[in-house]
Amino acid sequence: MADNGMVKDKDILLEVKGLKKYFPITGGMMRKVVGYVKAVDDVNFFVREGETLGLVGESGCGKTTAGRAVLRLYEPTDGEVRFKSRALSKSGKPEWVSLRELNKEQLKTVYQDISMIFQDPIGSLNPRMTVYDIITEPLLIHNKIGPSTEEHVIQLLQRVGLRPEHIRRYPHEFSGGQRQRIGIARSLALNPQLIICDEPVSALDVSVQAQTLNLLNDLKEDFNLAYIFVAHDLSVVQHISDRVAVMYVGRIAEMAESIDLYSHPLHPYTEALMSSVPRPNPRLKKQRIIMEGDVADPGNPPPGCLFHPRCRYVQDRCKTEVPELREIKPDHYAACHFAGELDLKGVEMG
Amino acid sequence: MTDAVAIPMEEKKKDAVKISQSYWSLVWWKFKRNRLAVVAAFILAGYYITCLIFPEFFAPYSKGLESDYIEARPTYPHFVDAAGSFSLRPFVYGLDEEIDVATRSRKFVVNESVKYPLYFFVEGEPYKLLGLIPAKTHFFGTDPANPDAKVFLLGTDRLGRDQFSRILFGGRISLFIGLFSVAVFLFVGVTLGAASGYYGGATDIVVMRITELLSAFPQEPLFLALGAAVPVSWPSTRVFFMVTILLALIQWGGLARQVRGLVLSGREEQYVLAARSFGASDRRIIFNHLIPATMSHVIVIATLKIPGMILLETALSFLGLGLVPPTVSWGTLLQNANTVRSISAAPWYLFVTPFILFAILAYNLLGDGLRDAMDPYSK
Repeated sequence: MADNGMVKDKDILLEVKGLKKYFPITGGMMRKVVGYVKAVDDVNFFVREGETLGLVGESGCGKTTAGRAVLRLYEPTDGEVRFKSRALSKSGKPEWVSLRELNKEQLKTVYQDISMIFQDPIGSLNPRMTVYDIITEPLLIHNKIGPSTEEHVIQLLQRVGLRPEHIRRYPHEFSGGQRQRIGIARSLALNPQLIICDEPVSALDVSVQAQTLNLLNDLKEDFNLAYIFVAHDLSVVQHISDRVAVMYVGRIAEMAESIDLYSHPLHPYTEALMSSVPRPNPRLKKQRIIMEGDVADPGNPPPGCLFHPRCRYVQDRCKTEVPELREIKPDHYAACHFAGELDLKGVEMG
Repeated sequence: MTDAVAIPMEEKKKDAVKISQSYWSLVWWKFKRNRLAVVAAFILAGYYITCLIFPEFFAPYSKGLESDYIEARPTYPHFVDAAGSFSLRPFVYGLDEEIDVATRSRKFVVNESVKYPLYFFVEGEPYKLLGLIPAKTHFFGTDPANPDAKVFLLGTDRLGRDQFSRILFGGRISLFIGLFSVAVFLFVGVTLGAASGYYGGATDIVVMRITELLSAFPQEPLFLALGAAVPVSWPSTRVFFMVTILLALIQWGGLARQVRGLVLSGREEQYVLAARSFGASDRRIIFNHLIPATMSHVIVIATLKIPGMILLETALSFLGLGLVPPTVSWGTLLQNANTVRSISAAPWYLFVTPFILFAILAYNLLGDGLRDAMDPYSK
């Protein structure tokens, strides 16, 4: 699909093609490799400038691994990651680079353009460092400490809703929501173009979740950021994403504009997932689709379509042939042999 | 309305004044409440000032000065003389040499008719303070104008050298060995442990197998063999450094294993991943994130290790396998007391023991205090 649809788009910022990350399974005395967990297997997606791409899926479907493999925090097994980098170009105009071909120094430079926000607001901040040290760490790594650094940090703190006097404090003195704000301020320190948010709100309680999501939305406008927003909570993803990619056992099942995907899913898995979204309407008849069986084991995946053992619309073809991710409607991709032919139910956007 | 405005203002003020407590200031605060540990810290400070830094000043004589008083008994300071008259200035009695008719051995007896008053800050043998500044003043001593006046607080040895002075000078070597070998021990243990935990793989396997080999080896014969391997012809300073490094190299295994464990768990922390996502180098992650996380643990181990090193040096030197005379250390001083004859004839040779004892005790109390203070789970 990549060859027909994606490249012609001018404002694409990041393009991922055929990304794979296999973790070896070792066994026996000699630690022989007996198989692979295909955590991420042939993942394709792209992010446009200033856009939020939601990446959803059940736990263990490889969404976090995909996010980290993009940055080569986990070295991908195969695939291509192309990124329009500002930091690496000498002319000042953004330039296409292939992240997997960069050497260490170049990759470090690209890290100025892409940063990360982590799930655990406690674990992602070093408890022995002050807020100032935490936020300036990216600057220190890239030799960008100057006389105006403190002012810069204070501005960042104020921008994420913290107070200037918090600068000398330690992480343990903050609440979970505040800590996540510190993490957000840190991710903004180098003025990136793209932030990979790895479940940034799933450890927070609901009221704080909303505040944090609104903050992320505001920052996106202010700094012209793009997000890859990894999450498992569909209502959170719906709230923040422009487009959503649904993952199932290491593969993208469907990718489309948020509204389109939620109201008119084209993949049976998306339909089942949508039916699980709780809706605050007591008169609505429950129509949850209860899926049979378990999630496929990425170490021992079924042949054909990975979803076929649980699919309500399964046909013989699904059991042998792996469906490709193809563009069914403009900007709406699905990896199902019968996408577009099935009549699937979505949810109304509220 | 005015109240509503005033309250947040006040809150803000309080907030600005509040100073954050860093981990180390909390440790210090907890440590201060442990009286025994604080006393131990003061005792150790005293040891290091008198023995390690300024023994030339605190000792009345140099470590090599030989007097005519061979194995003379200690002359204790008195305030009240035999006649019962009190003087504020302490004094010591003179010593007379006597031949014991029965054993035909010479011994010294106290002559209560001769009194030598003691003075503070007296002029004595010239020396160089810290090896640099020439000086003559000693902390205490007898009247320099009277060459017969001597003070031997803890007696003399076979060559007529003052025990007290020699114990102070011996402390310099023994205490320094404790510090220096623990420094080497820390360097080797932390470096190899951190490398082993962080890089894993072949590094880990090699390092861990070496530590297992070292811990499986019976330590005493290993010390004896290595100690015996140091050539006799070597100058004393080289032997000294050799012994120091030997002590460290045999013992680093346990520390390396603990640091490895801490680094292994620290490596998986999200803040390490965060640092990597910003492009931090391995070196930065190890030195700024992983090793600081092990420090509270390592400092306690080091503090508890120093007395072990001091004792090891003492034991080795006592057996004649570590340092050898003329180097003065607590171990070589104890060699004087290695026969029954010498203990019965000159029991003051054993005065080295309380000095060692209190140093070890103080270190252990200090280590315990630090461990309690650094334990994040204690209240």
